[in-house]
Amino acid sequence: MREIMKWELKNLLKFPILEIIIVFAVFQIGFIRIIFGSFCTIQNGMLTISSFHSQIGQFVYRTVTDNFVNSRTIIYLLASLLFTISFAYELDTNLTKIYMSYPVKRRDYFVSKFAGCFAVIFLTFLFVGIGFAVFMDLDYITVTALSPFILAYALTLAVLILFASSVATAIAVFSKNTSLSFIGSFFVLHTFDSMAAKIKIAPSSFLREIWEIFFTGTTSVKNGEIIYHIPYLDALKTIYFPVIASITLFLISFIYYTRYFEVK
Amino acid sequence: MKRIGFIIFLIGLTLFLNFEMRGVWSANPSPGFPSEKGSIYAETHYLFFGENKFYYSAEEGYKGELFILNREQTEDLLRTEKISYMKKIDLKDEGMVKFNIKKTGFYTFVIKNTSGKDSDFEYSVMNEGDVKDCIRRSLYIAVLGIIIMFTGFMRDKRGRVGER
Repeated sequence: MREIMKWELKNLLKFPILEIIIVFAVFQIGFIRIIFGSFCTIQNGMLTISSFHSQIGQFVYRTVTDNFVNSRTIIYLLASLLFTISFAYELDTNLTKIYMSYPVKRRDYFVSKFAGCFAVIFLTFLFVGIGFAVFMDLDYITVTALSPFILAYALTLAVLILFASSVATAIAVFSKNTSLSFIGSFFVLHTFDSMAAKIKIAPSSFLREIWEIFFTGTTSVKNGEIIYHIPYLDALKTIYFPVIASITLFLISFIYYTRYFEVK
Repeated sequence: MKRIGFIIFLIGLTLFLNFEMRGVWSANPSPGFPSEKGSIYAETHYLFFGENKFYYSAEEGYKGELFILNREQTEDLLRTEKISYMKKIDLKDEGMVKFNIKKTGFYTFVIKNTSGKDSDFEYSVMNEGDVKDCIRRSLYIAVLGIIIMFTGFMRDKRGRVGER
């Protein structure tokens, strides 16, 4: 499995795919559009320095996550591109047939491809987000690079990329055609996003809810420490539907690919 | 090495285009706060490079002081409750004061009520959004990328000559 993963990553990281992903990520995340410029009030009883730092972290990752949520179309485009290259294009160019002629388990082959594409998009956007958070004020580099709010940003990234990946994989596996897979995945993801805004598994709905839960929740101050009242149960309820939908789609594609899929 | 340099160059270039063409945008609405006599109020803001305008309004007869603090000074305030500052500006009733910021980033406003009475205080901050320092920083990243790329080319060339 490790070998297949290496093949896959080598394939995905070759010039200019990685460069394209990085440029898109920086273009979409690396700009300053701040809704509330003020964020930390020190009035009744001084804050501790650690609380002040966590406020800086929350503010910075709120901006980065907001930029990411507003630019989710790019994720759809990249997921469609990578999963098409990984599944449909290799089938069209008979590369899959060559791989299958080696003693490779279909299960490992499928999982490595999925995990490889997911990891490339996820890690690129994660590092670009952290990099831009650091870029916003280099004086606070130690604060922004280690803020726990990175986890909230990473959760938002993971849920959306998992959703886009599972849809793109299903379309790529079932269509078996490069152009149909690319255009079909992007069209389905984009249309679903814009038309089904009120459904709980629609990205526009669950991403905004995750953002609100982690970045606009209420806080209180006790002995100079800021306590964040994050409703984790609500966060779980919010990600429950998209994650279940993504896993179901993944399993359908997985079962089809490992049991019924014919490589011609 | 060439590829790493090229990626760094692309990151710098994309950031440059973002700041130069898209610009920046920030809204600094403050809901206002009750400023009791002799009290201090502090709020941290993300401010842009260059001239910033601080609009404020308080009740008639209000007198106060505005201190602008950087990271060290803010942490010093939190640690010792003493105000050391970059800039100090006197405030009276209502109006607008200008100040210059040399680096885009986080700054803390400390507003001290020096008048003998309580007053409501409201303020907002405006900026042209001309982030020259961020543009300069993104260009530095692009140049660093070019230097790394060039070093990679030179190393490859030397390696080939060595092989011959």
